[in-house]
Amino acid sequence: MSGELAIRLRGVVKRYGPITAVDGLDLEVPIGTCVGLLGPNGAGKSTTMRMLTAQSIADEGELEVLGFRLPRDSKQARAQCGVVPQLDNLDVSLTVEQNLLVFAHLYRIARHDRQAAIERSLELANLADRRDTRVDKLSGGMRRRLLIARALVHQPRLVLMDEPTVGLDPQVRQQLWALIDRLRYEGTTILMSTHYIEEAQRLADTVLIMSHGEGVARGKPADLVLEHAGREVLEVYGPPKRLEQVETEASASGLKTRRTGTSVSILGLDGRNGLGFEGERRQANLEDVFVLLTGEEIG
Amino acid sequence: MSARAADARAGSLESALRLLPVRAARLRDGTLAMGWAELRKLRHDHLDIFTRSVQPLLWLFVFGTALRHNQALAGGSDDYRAYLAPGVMAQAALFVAIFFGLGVIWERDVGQLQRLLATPLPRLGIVLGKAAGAAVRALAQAVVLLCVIAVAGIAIRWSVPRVVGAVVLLLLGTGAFACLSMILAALVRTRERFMGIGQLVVMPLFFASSALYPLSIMPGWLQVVAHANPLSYEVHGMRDLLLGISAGGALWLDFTVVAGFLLATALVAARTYPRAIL
Repeated sequence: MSGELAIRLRGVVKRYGPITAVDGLDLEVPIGTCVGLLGPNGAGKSTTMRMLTAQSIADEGELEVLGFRLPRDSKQARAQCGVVPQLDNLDVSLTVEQNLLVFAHLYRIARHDRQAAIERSLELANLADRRDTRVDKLSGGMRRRLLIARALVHQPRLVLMDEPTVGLDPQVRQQLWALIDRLRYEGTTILMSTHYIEEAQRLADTVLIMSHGEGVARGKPADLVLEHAGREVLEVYGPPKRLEQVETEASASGLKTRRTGTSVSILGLDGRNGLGFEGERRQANLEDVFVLLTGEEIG
Repeated sequence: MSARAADARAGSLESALRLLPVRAARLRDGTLAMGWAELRKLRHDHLDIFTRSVQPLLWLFVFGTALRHNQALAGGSDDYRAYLAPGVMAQAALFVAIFFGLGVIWERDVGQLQRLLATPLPRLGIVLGKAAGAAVRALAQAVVLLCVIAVAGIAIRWSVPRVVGAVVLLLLGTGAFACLSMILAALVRTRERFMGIGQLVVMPLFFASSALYPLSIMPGWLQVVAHANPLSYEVHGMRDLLLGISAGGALWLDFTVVAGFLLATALVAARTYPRAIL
């Protein structure tokens, strides 16, 4: 038993044929915190999530969830986990309440607690007035909220969210952020994978940045930004030739840069004059760190 | 074997035994919950039950009526339609069950299977839950067919224990063929290939059984095949209960064979189906 940790991964490797999807990953999620797995598509986030529910078995390494060794004790671990999948897999021909009821049975909530558990989930997801609506009549945002409510019906000790807001419009995303934030404040332990930088920055206590199946940086979002990108960034726009020149000169002065499509950002400027380049000064952010460390743009 | 390994083995056996009641309860609750969900869904699917009932009714009223007075086929009954009725009920359920695998592959494609895999439900629970779903559909269909049989005045023995017994046997058989279908789904993995293999399996199962005609009129080799076909036992038992016709077999044997077939297919499906199909 690993004391205060809800999840502990050591040297986990998962291969699919010649492709190594997860390559020696270490991950720790302390009880009562929200950890974000941040990475572009194909970084190994979803594979990691699948291994945590033992839908996929690691080739190497140790996995422990809530003190249970995987895959050996995965059933006990799953009984205390809630899973919010990336794909909407609600039962569309059942009503909101019936979806929750089926899960209340699958997670074996005792009969006299069942209705209360369903009410609590409905209230949390703000779906109480929709309880008798069939799922195929719900809006996209409501369906997402129901997916989260379904994962919470048995009051899990740990919630796994695989890209909970992928493909949603901004208003719906913000509703979900409010919901996830509420869970955080209530002390639920959350592991969330995402490729939205803002999501990780707002919701996660600590972030693990993944690239090509490996963890490349971990820490509090603000600390990561400070460590790798400093406080202030100068974003210089111009034709490709000029951008190259900016990169060369910055690197000659020992400053790090990163591309942003149409511009180059000089990182860690922190009050210095910017090498005489004209541009837009802004605060450094997690995206700067991400692109710097992985060399990849984020979706 | 070292003493320590022996200890560990004894320990794991002990903990396995200790966990047995919990596992059994989990299995039961999960299976029931999935069967219940299927029952709920049926309420929106009246058309499906109706359209699926057309084919068995054609067998009963076109095929059966044409051969109505054929004594050789009627296997000791006065009316071939009565003889045919249990066979047609079993056939209709067989079709539901065998093509259940198609839905299972579809569920994998849209992520429904993953939903179940993330729960603590044991693999066997997922398989039995699915089988219960198929059985619920077969039950709805059986009720429709029994009503039509009653209205048409086809003479079967209308006693509650007999009808209930026949329906129980039908449900066990349907569950077993649904498990067989999940094994096939795990083997072929795509819907397109499943359509082909489903046809390949369902027609021989149907024709090489006692569903349409008594075993006694079959050539020897076909009798051997039909004796190895669980559908023959299912139909034989239903006929025994609904018509009082026993073609030389025992009712307990019919139940044993069908229940054994269910157990075997469920265990194999639990090993092959959920994981292989992902």
